[in-house]
Amino acid sequence: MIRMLVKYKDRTIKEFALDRIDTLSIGRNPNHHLVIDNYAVSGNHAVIFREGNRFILKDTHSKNGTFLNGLTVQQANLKNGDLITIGKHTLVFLDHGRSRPRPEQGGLKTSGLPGDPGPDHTMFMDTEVYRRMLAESGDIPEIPKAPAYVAFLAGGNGRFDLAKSMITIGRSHRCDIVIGGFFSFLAGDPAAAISKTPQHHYISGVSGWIKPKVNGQTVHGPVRLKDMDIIKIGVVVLQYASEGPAAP
Amino acid sequence: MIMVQAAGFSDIGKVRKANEDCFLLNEPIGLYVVADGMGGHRGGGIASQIAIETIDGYMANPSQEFSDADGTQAVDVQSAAANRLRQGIFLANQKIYNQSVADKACRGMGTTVSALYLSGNSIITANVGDSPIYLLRNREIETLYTPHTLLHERKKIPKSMKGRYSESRLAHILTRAVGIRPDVGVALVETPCFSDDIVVLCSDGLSGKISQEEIRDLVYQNDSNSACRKLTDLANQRGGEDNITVIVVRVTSANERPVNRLFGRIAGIPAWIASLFGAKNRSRAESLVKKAAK
Repeated sequence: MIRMLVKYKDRTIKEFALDRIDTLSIGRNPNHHLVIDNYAVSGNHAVIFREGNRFILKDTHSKNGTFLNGLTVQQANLKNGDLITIGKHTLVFLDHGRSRPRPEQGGLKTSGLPGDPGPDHTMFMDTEVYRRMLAESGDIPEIPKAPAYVAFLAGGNGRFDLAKSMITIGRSHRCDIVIGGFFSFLAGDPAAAISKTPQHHYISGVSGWIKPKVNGQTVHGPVRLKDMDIIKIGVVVLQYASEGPAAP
Repeated sequence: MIMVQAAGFSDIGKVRKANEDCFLLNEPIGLYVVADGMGGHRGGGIASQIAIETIDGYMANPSQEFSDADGTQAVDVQSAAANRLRQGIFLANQKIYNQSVADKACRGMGTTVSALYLSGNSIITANVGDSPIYLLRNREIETLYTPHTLLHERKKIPKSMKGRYSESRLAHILTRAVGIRPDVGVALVETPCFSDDIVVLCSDGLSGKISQEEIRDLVYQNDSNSACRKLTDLANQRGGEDNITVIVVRVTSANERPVNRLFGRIAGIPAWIASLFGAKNRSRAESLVKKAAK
């Protein structure tokens, strides 16, 4: 039994039995076996065809690419549990017909010493077995995280998402956030920088006579920003909002 | 240029018969690596050693052309230095994998890699596996690595396996390692470096025994060398079931941005004047639009 599940946002919307099919074409054009009507999908996007007793995935020069287990591919053999991503849809290739590696210890294979290496030894999870289990147990919803941002309280409008590893604030347009106003020539180029580590943001003064202040305190070295901190540089006043689990 | 004072120390621990950890201090190029090997009869030690030697050789030799063989993985957001480090880890992965396929005694060997590369004015860290990298700044500690263990990727545990393993067991199950598979995913972090930053790299033999706060306090109270010794001793006192390796890198001076030259100031004057008028025009235009809307 060889099956292909078509998933969209955690739900299986279609299923193909591949046992008797030699080719399965995928694209936005209505003449394909699997039509995905989405602008991220090319007219002729990819094709899956049988060669001997194996199935091969081939990208037919799609614009946005075909991903096999997260990597772009031109052509690849399909194994049980493989995840193919096309646009926003995921195709799961399931091949239950042939024997598959027997999972040891309920799906975990240790790459340690023969026998159980003991609880303090590090094991490595066999990702192939793991992927198959993932495919069978359904997709895991990722909780989207709202990115950290600074909102303008004065000297500008809207907000600025802190997506880059380094955001510069200064008087010229080379900086990400520009300080305006008559006395802006006293500010450096850049005057301050907001830098990012995986969990926090830091603000530091760089150059010029206008120094950044956080909650009224002048910044000398790098200062870790906390949620709702007020940053003031010249006429620009910003409020920092940290990364949060809630969508904006 | 970043000036640092670094020290590293590795100990076999109290229970294991061999030290499968390996570490590298290459101060001239600013590269520091901890590798915690695993698997096989003697494979773990070999894997970590190959990883260290390969990464060191690749990073230290600038003549070696940086081959962008897998352009699919290289993310453009990262700098060339970060990509170079990633390539070094890919190369190590290839070598270990090839050897584990060729040599029966080494079958299934692999290693974690946690690397720190000080380049330009940035701290670049890369990790595969569960060896921690900590950043100490302003008397606070934070992590710079992504632990690739089931405990931290709990969301990814399939339903059929839920509840089968205790937490301490999950923390020892890696979802990624160098040399196990032909390809490897590397977690990279790049962040600007400041004076007095301290980066600590260690193996899980240390982080499993000592809390982050204890590491922070010990590192701030001692110089790099004795901090390494004291951390290792403490982990040994608390059992020392695993190999213990620690590197402490203390940034003594980082050049913060170059000071503005006078020329830059003068060249900026037209832009400044334009920005004054630009702001005025914009606000006038906005008020006009508002009036029109009314």
